[in-house]
Amino acid sequence: MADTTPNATPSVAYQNWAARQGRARRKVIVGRLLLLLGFLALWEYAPRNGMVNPMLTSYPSAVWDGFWDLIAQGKLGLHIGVTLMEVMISFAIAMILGTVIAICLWLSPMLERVLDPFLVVLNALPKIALVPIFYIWLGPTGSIYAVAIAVALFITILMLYTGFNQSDPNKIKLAKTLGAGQVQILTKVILPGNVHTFMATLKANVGLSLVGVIVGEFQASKAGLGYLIVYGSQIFRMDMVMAAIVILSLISVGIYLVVQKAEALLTR
Amino acid sequence: MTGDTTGRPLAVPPKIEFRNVELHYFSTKGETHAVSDMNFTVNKGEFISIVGQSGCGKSTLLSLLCGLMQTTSGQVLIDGKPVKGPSPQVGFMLQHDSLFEWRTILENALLGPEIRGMDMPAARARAERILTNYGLGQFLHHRPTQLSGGMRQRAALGRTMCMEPDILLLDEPFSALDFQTRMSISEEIGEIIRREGKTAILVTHDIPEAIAMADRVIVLSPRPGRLKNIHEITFPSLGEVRPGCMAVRDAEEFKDYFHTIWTEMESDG
Ligand SMILES: Nc1ncnc2c1ncn2[C@@H]1O[C@H](COP(=O)(O)OP(=O)(O)OP(=O)(O)O)[C@@H](O)[C@H]1O
Ligand SMILES: [Mg+2]
Repeated sequence: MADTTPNATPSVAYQNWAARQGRARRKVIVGRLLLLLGFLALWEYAPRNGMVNPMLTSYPSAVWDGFWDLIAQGKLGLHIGVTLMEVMISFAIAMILGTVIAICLWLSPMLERVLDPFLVVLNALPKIALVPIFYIWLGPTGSIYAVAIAVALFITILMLYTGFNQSDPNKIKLAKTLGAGQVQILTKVILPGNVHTFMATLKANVGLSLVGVIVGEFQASKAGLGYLIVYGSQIFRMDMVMAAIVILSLISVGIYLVVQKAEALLTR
Repeated sequence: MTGDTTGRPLAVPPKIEFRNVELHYFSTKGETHAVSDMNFTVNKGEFISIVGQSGCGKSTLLSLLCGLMQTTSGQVLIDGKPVKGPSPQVGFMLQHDSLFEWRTILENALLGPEIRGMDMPAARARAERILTNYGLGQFLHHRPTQLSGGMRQRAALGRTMCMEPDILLLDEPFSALDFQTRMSISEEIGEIIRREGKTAILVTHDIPEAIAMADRVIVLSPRPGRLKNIHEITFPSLGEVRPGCMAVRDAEEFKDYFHTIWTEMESDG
């Protein structure tokens, strides 16, 4: 058996190597912090000294005030909550629906052959173009979900189906020699062998659902971060717009961390 | 229990019988005649090797026997009954061990019983006993990636044996191993199969391996695979009882068998 446990007593050379690795890691962190601070400093300095128009760019301290302004109005929680809710619901629907459809396609190659060109076109079609239609058909709330689901659904189907099809043919043959039928091949080989595909799809989809929701909110909404951005830009409150964008990026980071946790749990 | 395929009393049908088997593959690119006019029988407890050039239809024969596909014409019979589909009676060891990396060794061995809906506690006890016999007792709960090539191959044999088949099909099961491991594993697995009295068919490109492990060696012609010759493998110089796979390699008959089979495989038609 391959013994991969490290030596109990590391050699001097190893300790030196480990120390170099540690220094490199610290350099990277310092570099990132410097980049962020430099960017914030420039963003604060340039508008305040008339190098760029503060009306257009706003600046960090103003964004900070705008942020507190929003909290003081007592609406920020609502906006974040609405957007998060929309993201989670449409993400879940796209994921479940996409998985079910991908499984059906895998179970029925005939269906897959018939639908293939349509799926490719629907996937390539910029779903954003459908926003006005969704709005007319489904109204303000419905259209937000519809866009977000449409953006994530087709890529889910294609990614999962491709993953299913690339499953190891030797493993499928083996399952057949043991007497497995189509459904058992699915549950014993295809699905457990595609956990990593599923995770990749998950990662792609949270981002896409967020994009879909924000675009949907741009078109028509009374709450949500997308609404805040549009509203802020209409009344020319750049600080408000920027605050909303900063919150959006924090949400993305949060989602990324959650997905990473889920991946660690699932692929253990 | 060797040899004679004709003139036996008809009361007990042979364990395995190919009767006028033809097989054509159909694909969008055209038709491939893979197996032609195949006739042979295998008795219970016999160990048969099949050799032949690449693409001559060796794997196809095993797939037919396992019931993964049906003949174009002719019949494949096990115990006198036509093969309809995969059955627990036939165990198939493929070239790739195809252990599922998301399952432990024990769980891999339990794949067959799960699929067949067997009594799981009994299957589990059986799997533990078999794997322990094969020297994997300490690794029941390890993942396949933590095992060496030889150990993986033994785990794959354990997975096959857990279904308690009485026929074993081996399609180049050792070709992914390095030379040293290959020699010892093939000896080891050959011993296990003989000890348990299984009927076995081994497909291999390695002529010495084919001779060392088998009671008879079947030589196929290039595609479409026809029966070219069947060699009875005996070692009179080594006495009544046949010694292990390793020992027979030094016998004087061994070189003759090798030479004959090698020349046969080289010549076309
Ligand atoms: N699914 C298939 N569709 C079409 N042709 C096939 C298929 N499988 C095998 N063949 C063809 O049938 C012939 C016999 O194939 P087979 O796999 O039985 O050969 P083999 O003797 O096992 O070869 P190798 O020693 O390389 O494993 C080959 O020429 C191959 O190209
Ligand atoms: Mg083959």
